[in-house]
Amino acid sequence: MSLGIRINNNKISAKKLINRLKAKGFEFEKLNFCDYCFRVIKSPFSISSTVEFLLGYFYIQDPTSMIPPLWLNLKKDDVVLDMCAAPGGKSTHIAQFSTVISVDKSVKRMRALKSNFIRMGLSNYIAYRMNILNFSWLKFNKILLDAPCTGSGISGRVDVEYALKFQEIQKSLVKKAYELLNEKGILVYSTCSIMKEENEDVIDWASEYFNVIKTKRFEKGIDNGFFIAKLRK
Amino acid sequence: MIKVKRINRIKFIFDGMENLLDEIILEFKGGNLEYYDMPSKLYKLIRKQPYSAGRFIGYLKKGLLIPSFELMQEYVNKFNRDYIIINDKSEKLFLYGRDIFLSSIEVDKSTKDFAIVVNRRKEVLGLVKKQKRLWKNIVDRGLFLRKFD
Repeated sequence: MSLGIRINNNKISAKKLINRLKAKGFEFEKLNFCDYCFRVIKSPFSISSTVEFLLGYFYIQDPTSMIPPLWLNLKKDDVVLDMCAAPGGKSTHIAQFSTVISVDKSVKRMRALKSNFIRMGLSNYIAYRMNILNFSWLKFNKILLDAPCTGSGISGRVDVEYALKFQEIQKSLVKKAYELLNEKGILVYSTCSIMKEENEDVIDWASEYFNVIKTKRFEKGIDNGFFIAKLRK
Repeated sequence: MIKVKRINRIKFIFDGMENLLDEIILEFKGGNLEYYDMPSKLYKLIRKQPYSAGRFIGYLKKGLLIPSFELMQEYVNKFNRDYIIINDKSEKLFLYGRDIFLSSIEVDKSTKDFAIVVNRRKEVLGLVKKQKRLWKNIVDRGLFLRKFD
């Protein structure tokens, strides 16, 4: 599987960082959808052991996972809800441009989220460790829901029965997102699954409430399989 | 989490560091007391007890605020003092948690028993405390790997 880095342009320019890492023997290919996102094509050693990583100059991420925050068209004054935020890959991406409210219930993964925010020196966030279904005190114009899924985009196809168990959770989260969105608010829904039951079927169901603006499916190949949908309330 | 009303409750290692803080200071209970700062605009969005929020500015140890890397970087950029520059070889060892020998220091701009460790690019790597023949590692950026990997 390919490895990507997303550069923390709050701290360093893409050009400067890429030159520094190239001098250490790394090679990169720029991803076509984003100016500060790169695929690592040669690693003489683990890129996470570089001082540049420890300095918070980049986040290591699968390239497809960098896309959902981009679909939110982030602006400086936005306050975005990230519903299943830990360990913080997409939340830290949002925080590079906007304010993010990051919610997740996992103790262990929230520790990682906090560490990622601190390492990257990003400060415009509030993190809550709780079940998002109990969140009710703010409404948003933009929500990211990277839903819990079977992970079949990484591991390969799974039983339909298994995918349907996740579908129930995914639907309850989409419903919650609807509640927390202002009128005409945008929801970006994503999973790292390639199962129709967790993706197109969930969006078909959601189209009763939302306008579906666009969807995109990435089959498992050089990058992990992934699905993204953009919906308007 | 509580809002810190009087900043002089917190003892800073370096003079002037308190002037670098944002409007609101929050105290979180953990293994050590942890402190975060933020603008009031962000604070107004908080309704319930958050897990963490804003810029991490450090944790309390034996009554002293051990400053975060971000706060130390801002301090070095602004005041240009209280740091030591170490060589590339020592940078690697320091990030593995090792202490710093005097021979590894290329520039010494320390004025106290504590010093901020920076590399040749003046990027903050950690914090050390002076001992007889070396600078003892108090905290370094390698902890992000040692603690969370």
